[in-house]
Amino acid sequence: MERTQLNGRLMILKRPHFQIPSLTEAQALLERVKEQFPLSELPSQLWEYVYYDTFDSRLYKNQQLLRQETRTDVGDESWLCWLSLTGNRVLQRGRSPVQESVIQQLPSIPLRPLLEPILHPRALLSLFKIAVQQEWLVWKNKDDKTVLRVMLESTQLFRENYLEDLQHRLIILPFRGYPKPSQQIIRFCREESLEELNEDLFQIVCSKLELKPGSYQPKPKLKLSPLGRTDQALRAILGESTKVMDLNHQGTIEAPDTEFLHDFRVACRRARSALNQLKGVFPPEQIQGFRDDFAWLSDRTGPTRDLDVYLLDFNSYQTQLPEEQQADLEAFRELLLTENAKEQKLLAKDLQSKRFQKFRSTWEQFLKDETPSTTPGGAAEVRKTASKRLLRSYHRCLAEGKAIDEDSPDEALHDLRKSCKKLRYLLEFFESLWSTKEFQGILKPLKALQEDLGQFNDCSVQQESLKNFGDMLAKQQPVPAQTLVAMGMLVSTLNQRQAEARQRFQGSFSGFASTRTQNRFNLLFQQPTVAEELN
Amino acid sequence: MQILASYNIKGGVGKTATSVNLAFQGAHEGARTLIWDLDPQGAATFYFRVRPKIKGGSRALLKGRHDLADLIKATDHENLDLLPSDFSYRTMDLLLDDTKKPNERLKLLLSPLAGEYDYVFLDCPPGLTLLSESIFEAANVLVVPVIPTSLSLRTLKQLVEFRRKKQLRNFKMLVFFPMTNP
Repeated sequence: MERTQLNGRLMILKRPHFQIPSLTEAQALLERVKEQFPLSELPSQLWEYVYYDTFDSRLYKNQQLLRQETRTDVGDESWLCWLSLTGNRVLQRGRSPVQESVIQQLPSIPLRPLLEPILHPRALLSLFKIAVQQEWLVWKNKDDKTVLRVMLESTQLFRENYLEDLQHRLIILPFRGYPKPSQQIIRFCREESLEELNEDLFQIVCSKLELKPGSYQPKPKLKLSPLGRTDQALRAILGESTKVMDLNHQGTIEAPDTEFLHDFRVACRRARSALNQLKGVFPPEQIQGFRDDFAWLSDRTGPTRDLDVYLLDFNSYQTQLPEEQQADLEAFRELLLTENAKEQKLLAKDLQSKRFQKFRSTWEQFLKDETPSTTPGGAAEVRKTASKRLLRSYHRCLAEGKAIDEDSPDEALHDLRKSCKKLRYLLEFFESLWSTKEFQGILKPLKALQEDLGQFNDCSVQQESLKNFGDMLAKQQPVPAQTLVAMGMLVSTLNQRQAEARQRFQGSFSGFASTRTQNRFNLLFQQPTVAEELN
Repeated sequence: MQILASYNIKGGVGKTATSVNLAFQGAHEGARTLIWDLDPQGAATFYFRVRPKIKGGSRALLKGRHDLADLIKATDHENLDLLPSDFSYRTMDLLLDDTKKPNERLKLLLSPLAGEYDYVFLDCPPGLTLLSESIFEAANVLVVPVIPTSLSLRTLKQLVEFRRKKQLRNFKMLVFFPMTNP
């Protein structure tokens, strides 16, 4: 009997699948099978399968699928099957609520503890639905024990207004410990020249629907041509960010999870940063309006994202408090939820507003316009522009960082954080112009510095917000004094963490400002341009 | 993988019915489940219409000559497999006595199946023997059906006393009345 090894230990029987071209042929085949082998028929069954994954295909990337199987001919039997992508082996199967909305709210489903580490914080979205008709045949030995099942499965895909035929396949379901019957049926199918299927139903439907699971990239890797013009490169950079914005636009409005907004916001910020940092590539009058639009979008997406972050981190806030005080924060959670719902509503309105639509159409025209820029900056060779900008940006970070001492105000670190972020964006935009290895050497110390500056900033912003939320709570209604006390304790914990991040700053900055890193930057970005190299 | 042994020193209290029904229910709810019919009478094996025979008998099994996974038979029910009984199980105690660390034998034999099943139900023969001690070592839960007779209660006391004396703390004991309507 053929067995397959999964996760090192798990031994599961393989279920061979054979394709049958049409329903007529399938029925004729069933008759021939019944003539040759001691198989008897069981009542046929009708099912509907709905496939689920997150927007960024977390299950698929993990070589897994989640499928809800609901019996539609009798009763209300429904199962949630967690399957391996290759070969459709069942990893876990549990009874499932029938309503789709309940599946999407992960907390209610029985497989939650197993799925949550993979999915968090993303929601499950339904990908597609198929109708399945199963004709069952069973082989019993002389003890009346079932030793093999064979299923003829006919599937149809739910389209908007109709059902589209997918395929008919004969599935052999061997019984462990009884290898001979399945071997005989498999031999028969091969003699009948039936095509053995390796492609799973999921993959077949994906290619029909032109779905490309796993292809979503929140930070697309651009391939720029070193000899190209800067205006073309900038349009390409902006175009990639716009694609990410578009992909997340509807999800940001509907908000099944927090990450649509996160990715939408990051894409806006990247586009804004590219426009602001690569000055002189287009005439200022051509892009000023867009700069204002991106500033507006950044402003509008901020409040909801901040509240999302609080809610995502809420459990970690609670665990920072002594156990007996953790429940005191509940009134704060309620406030966050209410504010989040309010802000989300406003954001959804903004993203469907006339202003947004106008911005989106003029922006599209700008991106599609292939007219070369009239400025010298636009015509410049992109690697030359990138080198200049990157060096300038790095030296600016160096100067700002070196000026920071123990007495410097917090604002100095915040400013440095922003400058480092700009440098990071530039590096990401132009990464393809240099070799990956060269880039890693300069990215590593920058990332370490950004980590500390990020923590410093988060702690600072959160303290400020906690104070504001405390004031809001106190004004709104009679609020338990314990909640305000717990929030106060949280402020002091954050203050402590902020101080620790500031202490670590000198260490991570010295790595970023080391002679080695400086040499790497200078060596990499003071190279001659490609045109000069060719001469 | 949770190992649940349906056990009582006394016979005829409903051990097989308990393990078969609990295992079926678990499998029906989607858990990957195995029953090991350790009783040479082979009642659980009979329920599933599987022949009560394993290759090489108890000796080959305990010596590890066959992979336990190769002896498993699928039942007619999805998610539910069976490790059949064999008449040679009647001498399992003698064979266990012949092996190193007999108490750990069953646990050791089951360990390779850890990734394959969520629940393993052991349908145990009656008695308090070396095999029973190996069962106590392997099990996470001892499900003890008790019928309301003085002899059944007497064996329950013996079991509780034995557990206390041997300080067996690795399993929970769930005692219940079968054959009664709630």
